[in-house]
Amino acid sequence: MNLTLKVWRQDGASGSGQFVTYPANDVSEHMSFLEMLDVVNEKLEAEGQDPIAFDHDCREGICGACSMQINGVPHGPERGTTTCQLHMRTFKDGDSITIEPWRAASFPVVKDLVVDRSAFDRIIEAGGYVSVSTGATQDANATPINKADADEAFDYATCIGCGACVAACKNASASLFTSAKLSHLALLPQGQAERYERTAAMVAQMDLEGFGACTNTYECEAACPKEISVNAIARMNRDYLKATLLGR
Amino acid sequence: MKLDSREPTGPIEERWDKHRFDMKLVNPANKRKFDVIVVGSGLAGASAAATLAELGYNVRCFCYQDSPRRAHSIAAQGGINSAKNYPNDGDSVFRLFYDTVKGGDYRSRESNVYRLSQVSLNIIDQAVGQGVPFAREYGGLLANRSFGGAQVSRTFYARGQTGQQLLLGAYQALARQIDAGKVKMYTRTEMLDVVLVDGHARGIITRNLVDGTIERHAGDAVLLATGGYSNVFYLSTNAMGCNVTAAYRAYKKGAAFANPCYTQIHPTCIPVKGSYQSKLTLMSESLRNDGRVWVPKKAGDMRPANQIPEDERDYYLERKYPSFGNLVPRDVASRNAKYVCDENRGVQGGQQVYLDFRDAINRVGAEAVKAKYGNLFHMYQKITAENPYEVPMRIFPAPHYTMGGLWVDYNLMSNIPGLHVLGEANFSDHGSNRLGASALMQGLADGYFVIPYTLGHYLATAKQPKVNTDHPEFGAAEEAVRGRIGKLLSNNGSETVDSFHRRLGRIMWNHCGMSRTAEGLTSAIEEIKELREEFWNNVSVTGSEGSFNSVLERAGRVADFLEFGELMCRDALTRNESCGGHFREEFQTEEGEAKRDDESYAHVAAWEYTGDDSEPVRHTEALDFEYVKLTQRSYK
Amino acid sequence: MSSATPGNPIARLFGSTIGLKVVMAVTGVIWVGFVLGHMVGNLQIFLPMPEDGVHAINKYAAMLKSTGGVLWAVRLGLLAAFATHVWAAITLSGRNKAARPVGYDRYDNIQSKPSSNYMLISGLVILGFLLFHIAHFTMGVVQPDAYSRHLPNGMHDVYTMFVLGFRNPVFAVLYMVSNVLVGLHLHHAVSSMFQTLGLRTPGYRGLIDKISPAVAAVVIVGNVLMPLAVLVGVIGRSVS
Repeated sequence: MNLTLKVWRQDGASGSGQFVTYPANDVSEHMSFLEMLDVVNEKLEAEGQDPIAFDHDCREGICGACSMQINGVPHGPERGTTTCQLHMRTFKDGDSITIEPWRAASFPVVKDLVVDRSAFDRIIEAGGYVSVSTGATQDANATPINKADADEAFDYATCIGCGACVAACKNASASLFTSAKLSHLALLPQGQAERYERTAAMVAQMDLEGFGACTNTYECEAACPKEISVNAIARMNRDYLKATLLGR
Repeated sequence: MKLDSREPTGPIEERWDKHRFDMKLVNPANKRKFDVIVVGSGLAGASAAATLAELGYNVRCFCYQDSPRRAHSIAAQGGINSAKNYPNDGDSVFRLFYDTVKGGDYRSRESNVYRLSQVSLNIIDQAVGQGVPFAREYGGLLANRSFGGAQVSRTFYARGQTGQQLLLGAYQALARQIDAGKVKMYTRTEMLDVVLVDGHARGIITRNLVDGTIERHAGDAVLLATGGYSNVFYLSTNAMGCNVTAAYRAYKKGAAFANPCYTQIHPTCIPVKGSYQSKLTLMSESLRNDGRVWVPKKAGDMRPANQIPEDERDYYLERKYPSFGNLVPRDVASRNAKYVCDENRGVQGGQQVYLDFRDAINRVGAEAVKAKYGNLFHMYQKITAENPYEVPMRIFPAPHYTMGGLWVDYNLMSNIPGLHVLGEANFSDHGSNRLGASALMQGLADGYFVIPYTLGHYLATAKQPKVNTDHPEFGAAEEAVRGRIGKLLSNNGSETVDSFHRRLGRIMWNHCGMSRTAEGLTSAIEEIKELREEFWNNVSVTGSEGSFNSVLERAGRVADFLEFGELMCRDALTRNESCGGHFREEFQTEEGEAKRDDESYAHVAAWEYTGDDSEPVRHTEALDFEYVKLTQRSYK
Repeated sequence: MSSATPGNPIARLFGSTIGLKVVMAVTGVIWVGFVLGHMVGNLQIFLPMPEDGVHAINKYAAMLKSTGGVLWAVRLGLLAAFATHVWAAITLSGRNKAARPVGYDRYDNIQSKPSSNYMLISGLVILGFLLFHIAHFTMGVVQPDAYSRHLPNGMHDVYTMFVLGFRNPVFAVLYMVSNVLVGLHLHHAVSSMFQTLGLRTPGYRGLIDKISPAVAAVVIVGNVLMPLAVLVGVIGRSVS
């Protein structure tokens, strides 16, 4: 199939950007979206032009590197799918595809479709862990954990930190990301000791980074490639209120 | 070159304890005086950086990704082994040790593997303590499953995302130390050389991938945890960015490269679809617990699976290996897939075999199968547009893991003092074939429980003066790095970097892949040399040095692969035996199994770089087996 | 992770995004209660005229007025809640806009409800409507004649004011349209309050998501029915 790509090109963080149109011809339906871009890029490279920069690494939907707004939706039209796992069979011959970087003040553009998501790392650094040093643990089976709780904790822990939730939110809120880590740890006995301090610290960092507020539209949940539930946000809100009232 | 393994002696179960006592310690108050450089933030790098920082060292950690959380350990699916013996099915530290040495086809160091097996117990405790959500039984206790190459259930898992969960555990421990100010993290930063001062590793040269800045970093020790080199095949299950550069630059600075020909071809990957293919996707080996591998009995049978009657199907693994069946180790499973495809019995005439869940679904129901493998089936369907609940999966082996790596002693130190190598980047524990669910175990063992002890010993005994980045050695290393970048950029060629990489990959896959011959390897060495020359004459590298330039990044990595591929072939050519993942067609049993030559090759081959224009020198470290009896591996 | 964040809890609540949302939820709950109570009180307009000739709604109004200080306390409380709600909304909206200074060329909606995406607009319209409503029926500056009617016993004739007010099609339509917007605002708001307060848990999520549109429907139907009934002459034919 033949496609037309309308791609955001920007020469670096300070540079101004604009859309550039590229043809993508002879695209196989078996290609992944990134392989389609590879082909476009290899052609650009062969012509001595600068290829389109985009983040990608594992190409199996787990590292969370790939990040692009495809036709107005993070990671494109297929639900529960990262860009690297999106296949061209989702598109039709003749389609025009708009490709943009994630848009958020907290995710400044690095180049073209590449954005800086280090704000997410800083939110985790603010408290997204259990303060246990290596070696200071009891036997793994010493504390049984209810299977339903463990499974739910796992569901939240599957967050890949891609930023689609921020990209999808009309307020560029990082609530789903932050609450997914909080919920993962809040559901496990290991996370209890620091539960409220963690909530207060991570929410404070989230605000400091300049992400917007959650206005409960749940667009993040729909855009999340790991389909993480906004139930996490409700828990974060509850724990945050408790943390604040407790003076943590 | 002297390869001293520094293995402790005495009863194997006491060696690590004894060694820990014999090693020197760094006083708690003195630890903050030492700067440690950790390159890589996967399981080994992140766990080492976090643990060393917890102990009080000043750590600088580097990764090429935009966040340490994205290192490729994240993609490991199946699980992590530990000799916990919670299922009470006969496992023990000794059995895990035994299985690992045997699984590695008797080409690993007994002391190292025994220690790995011992600390496997602590890893699970550590991970659970961090909040890693392993699968649990209804009683709330941890669940286990069995994995290829083992007859006990010793694999802990978190659905099909065990690597992700373990890496996030290590990443969170790392984040805690970053917050505490004990680790300084450098993301989107690639190491381009290691700097030696007075023969000791004292720093690295890096390139900032955002703005191209070349930086010098000095420290008291350098730890490489930079993963494996499967991308030498171009198509592999590795992430696009995985590369051999850090390890190869260390090799060129004098570190011995051990057993580069030991590569693991994973049996259950999604077959190649087209020439545009950028990578291969692995389907967890755990699928072989319930999936049955088969091909049509008749060569050239083009009928769809559901039209091939039961008696015309060849469940070749069950037929040839009745006691292990579909759970034979990876090397055996992969090689047999190749054999049946070579006989033109590949599915639909292609390079692919079936992995069929029909019987499992009939036995336990689709829901139960979904609960176990749902995410894998989902992923398969997403990529292939075929529903594995209805039609059998198609799979084929793909390069996945590399057992070879920089040579290290029992302390995980290379032959360059101060240069330590962890995880997949070293050669140490898996011999010539790695068992499933052992990579995560080794990466975390090295980072959490080995290097924190052994690095202290080095720092306490090395007694090197402080150096800073003004030292002439840093200047020289930086000059060399800049020169190389300039050479790549000034090359006004016409062929793309990826095109060269694909061509190298084809040579490697054809001649140094699942089976190898002296003839093929000899010709591969020549082909690679020619390709390398062509690369330096005709590669097209666009963009500039001082900017975000993915072409330049890839060009540098491919340039190293083009040299390293030759080393791999040399190693494969000189190892005149078959063992594990290294299969030389000239050396096989009558039944087509790998035929070792323990008389001549029960050793580690470690290569020394001697210059671009001279051949590398092969050194050996003899392997002594006191506890495991060398036998012909049998999974029949 | 620091052991405790400095600052008193209330100040922290007003400073953080979640805290501001909590403030909006709490003030919102107050107003949802008021809107429902206000509607139920006003629905007395549909009651038949009692034998003593004093309409139920007039007695109800007189009763409210007789509470004196309490009425003013409630009014001030409602005013404070409303003002706080609007202030928090505008503060958050400013932060939200700053969080995405450069927008998308194409931005598609996946699952969010339209009502949830236009809360600020519906809210600002409601603010305007509320001011008009107070001027109209509480202060009587819009229709001074209708507002000044009293019964022979001296009671304020709210019934007549009500009927005269909605006999005017412009006012009737204004009230109907505004109340539809109030309903749409609540369509998202009620469920959103539960989410913000952390009460929209997996077990209750389904129920809450049904209550929210139900409240919206009740508010729209109840409040639209009243002006509509006057406009089409179902009630108030006797008023002149």
